[in-house]
Amino acid sequence: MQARLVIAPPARLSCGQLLTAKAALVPDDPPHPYSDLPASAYWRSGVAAQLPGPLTGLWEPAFPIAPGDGVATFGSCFAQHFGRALRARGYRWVNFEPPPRKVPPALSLQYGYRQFSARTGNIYTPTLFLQWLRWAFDQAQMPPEGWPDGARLRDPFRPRLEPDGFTDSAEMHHMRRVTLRALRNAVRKARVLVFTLGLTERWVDADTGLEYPLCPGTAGGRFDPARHAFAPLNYPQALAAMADAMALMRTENPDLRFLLTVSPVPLAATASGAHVLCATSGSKAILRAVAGALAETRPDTDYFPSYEIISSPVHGGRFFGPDMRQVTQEGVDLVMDSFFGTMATRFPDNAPAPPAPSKPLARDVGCEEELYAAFGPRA
Amino acid sequence: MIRLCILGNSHAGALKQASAEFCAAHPEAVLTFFAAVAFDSRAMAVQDGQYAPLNDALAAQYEMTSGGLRAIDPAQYDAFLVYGFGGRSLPQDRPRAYSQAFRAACTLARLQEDLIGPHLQALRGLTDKPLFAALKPLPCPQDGRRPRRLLPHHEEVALAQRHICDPLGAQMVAQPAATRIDERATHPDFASGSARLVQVAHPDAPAHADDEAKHMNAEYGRLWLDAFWPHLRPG
Repeated sequence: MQARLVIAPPARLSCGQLLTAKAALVPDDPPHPYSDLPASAYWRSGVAAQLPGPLTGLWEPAFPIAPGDGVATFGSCFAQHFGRALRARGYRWVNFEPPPRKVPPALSLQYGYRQFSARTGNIYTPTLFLQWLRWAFDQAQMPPEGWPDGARLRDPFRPRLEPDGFTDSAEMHHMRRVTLRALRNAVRKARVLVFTLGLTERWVDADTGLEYPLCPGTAGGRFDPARHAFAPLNYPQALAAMADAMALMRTENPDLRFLLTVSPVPLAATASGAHVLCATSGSKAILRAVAGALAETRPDTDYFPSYEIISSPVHGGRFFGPDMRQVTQEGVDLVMDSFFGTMATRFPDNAPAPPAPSKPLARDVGCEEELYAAFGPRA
Repeated sequence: MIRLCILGNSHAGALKQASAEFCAAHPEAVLTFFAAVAFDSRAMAVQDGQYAPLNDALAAQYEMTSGGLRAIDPAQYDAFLVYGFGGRSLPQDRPRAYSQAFRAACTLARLQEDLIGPHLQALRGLTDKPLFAALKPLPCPQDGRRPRRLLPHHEEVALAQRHICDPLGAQMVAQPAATRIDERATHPDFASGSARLVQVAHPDAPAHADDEAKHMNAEYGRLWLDAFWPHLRPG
């Protein structure tokens, strides 16, 4: 087909550009799939022509979120921004495990409150989310394991949530039951559940298969090489776990819809043996593919491209801090502005009242996985 | 003679109501009240060796409750009691939903945001005389339900002692056991006919409504003062 071009394009043009050029130069050619696409479908008009400004048209919402719709949020640390932004912009972020009233926000955050719709702590992987859901809905028994920390006890499944750990096993299990009840409520009563996929690398108990959010020994517990296994998820495993989690939630709440995102925050450290940059690429690629596959195949599921907004090379890394890992407040604001702006444009009748004036700081979120970085060499 | 200065809020009304009877029973006692509603006493500062209100409205409340004095002159007293600040609980407090450590942290945060610390600190800056502090009374049950509380009373008192009073050489005073149902509630008999602060100057003014659960009456004040007074006469 290229031989029919009237004017030969420069050799460095890509295949897509060739087709675009051909469409422009040979207007009387019969139509083909690339001849009549919207501007957003072409890199030149969808990206290059919009730079350096923010890109528009990245997302077409699959369903509306009305201000009165309860929205639950779970996932990696980046998901915390969603909850806060929903609250700040007049949407109904549901929190079934709130702190007491008249308590300083910093103290609540220190103890893991107001981060997610239940106090699960960060849930980085689809398998860990599924594990929490199975406990919540009595499909699996809550394990008795606790990690001694001096005279106190840490919960292996959210070791950083209580700064000083729990008084004893009874309190640890009671507080886990409180969280599981909140998780059940969130699933059953929310209209939309936002889940941010964060990691594929994970650590499990080789005997029981139980997954830890953080490698034992890094934030409590003691690493036992005979027992604790590195078990990174591949694409089929991640997809299956996420699909199982969604199926379980839909069983409990048939009207529940899902909004999936992928955290743009790179890995703090990798145990894979690969360079952390390559491990990050591999992990995010899997998670992005999982989110995309689910959004394409499930009518109850949407994917919001916060990952692309922050991480795309077109932005030259400007939404990352000096370490090129922390997302800046500008980046968080851009993601949230994009989300809520698109939602308001697409569904104007559902737009809430104007947002509250204050916005949280990007650093003001709890991100346990950062702990891994503390074990690396100092720069 | 023991001259006690009581710096308080509306809860001091119970002590004031009981003070005449108490002083008759304890001729050595001289009680002077500086009471102002709610958090009005936050507008105070150390000025010219006195702890003084920063606005006329607060000064007027002190004139009314002290019998004509507008500021606290430490030289005029032998001991000081900061009464009725801190110890706040909210109906939404659900102790079973939180760990012991978080409940303690929340309680301490609330105590530190209250006026016990600032008042004790100001007074300690002026005098080495004994300083005491007491939380507001535990609320009474309402509609048959006992109030929720993040920490039992004795733990809250211990927390305030350790984090607020100890650094200032002050002493917390617990609510008398005789007034409490348990660690969370005051017996409802003590809220019946409780005094409002305005009654200090106008005894004929109406008392709190019958369902009052937070402010206590003269009998409570008498029991409280009886339990407290030995602190001023050790041995």
